[in-house]
Amino acid sequence: MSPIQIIILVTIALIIIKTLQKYRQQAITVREFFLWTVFWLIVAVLFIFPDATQTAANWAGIGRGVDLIIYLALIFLFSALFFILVRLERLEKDVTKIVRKRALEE
Amino acid sequence: MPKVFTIIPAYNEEHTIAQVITDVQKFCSDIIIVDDGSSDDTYNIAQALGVKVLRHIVNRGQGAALQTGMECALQEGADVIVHFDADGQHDPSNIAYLIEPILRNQAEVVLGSRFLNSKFQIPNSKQISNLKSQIPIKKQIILKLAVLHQWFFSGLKVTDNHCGLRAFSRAAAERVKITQDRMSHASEILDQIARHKLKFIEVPVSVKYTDYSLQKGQKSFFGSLRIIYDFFMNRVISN
Repeated sequence: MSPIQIIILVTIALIIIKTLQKYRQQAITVREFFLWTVFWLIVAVLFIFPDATQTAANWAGIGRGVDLIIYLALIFLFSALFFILVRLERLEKDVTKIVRKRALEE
Repeated sequence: MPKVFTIIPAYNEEHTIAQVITDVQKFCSDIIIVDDGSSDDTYNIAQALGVKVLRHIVNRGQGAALQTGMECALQEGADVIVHFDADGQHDPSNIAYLIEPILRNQAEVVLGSRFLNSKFQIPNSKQISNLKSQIPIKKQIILKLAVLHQWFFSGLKVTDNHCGLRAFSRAAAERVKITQDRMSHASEILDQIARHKLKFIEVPVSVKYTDYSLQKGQKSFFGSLRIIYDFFMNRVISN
């Protein structure tokens, strides 16, 4: 096992422990806990068996399995960022509504 | 006698607010100050001067403060609503020019402009009623791009051009809803004027720049970027 694999696996283990703690603190639901744990386990498996992605990459016409993962991760991250920004904006508008209501009632 | 309300949003304006209020009081008796979560003494100073003061408990931006003021003015039975800046850059004697076309039923919205094209500038005002019907689509797009371009490269001037002095008839104020909490409310108001087909007039107004008001304006590159960001974000959310 290469050093980078060990570093990544230890990091993932820590993240899963954190996720479990958050679940115990009831900061996240059981569903969220389950989804994130599965997600990180898949990431761990891909790091242990990097060749596993090669087949998928070949099928998709991409040179290396790692590249496929990076493309997918980028698409996921940017779409997640977009939805978070939209949601943040909604939240801001809601805050304004509350602040305004209070200002008018005072 | 129509009731004219002047709305002055104020965020940390303790140095200018008293002067602005006493100046505006000479031209308009009903004043609503919206203290937008100031951390200084703005609220107390304004209240000591006997005007109506609303308070946002946290800062929400100038657009949000204007909308709060508008809703309050409508509740109080305003016939005409004027937007006025708290930093002392506007000359309160302009209020008379702003409300005149509304009182005479010539327009529902009056926009103050310092950069009125001289070609259009007939003595006091020039009617450019109804954006949508008179300007071809292509020109509208170019105008839109020009506005964006100006924001980008000279945020201050355009902020001044749109954001300073405005007046609304009651009917117009009931229709225009500012949802852009920060600075891009200026373009949002123009959008809504077009969408609701409100009859509007631009009148030239004088603005005096002080070091103080310049410093407070949208001078920075990031300030301008923020306006553009807000503008597009709003498109995404509302459509």
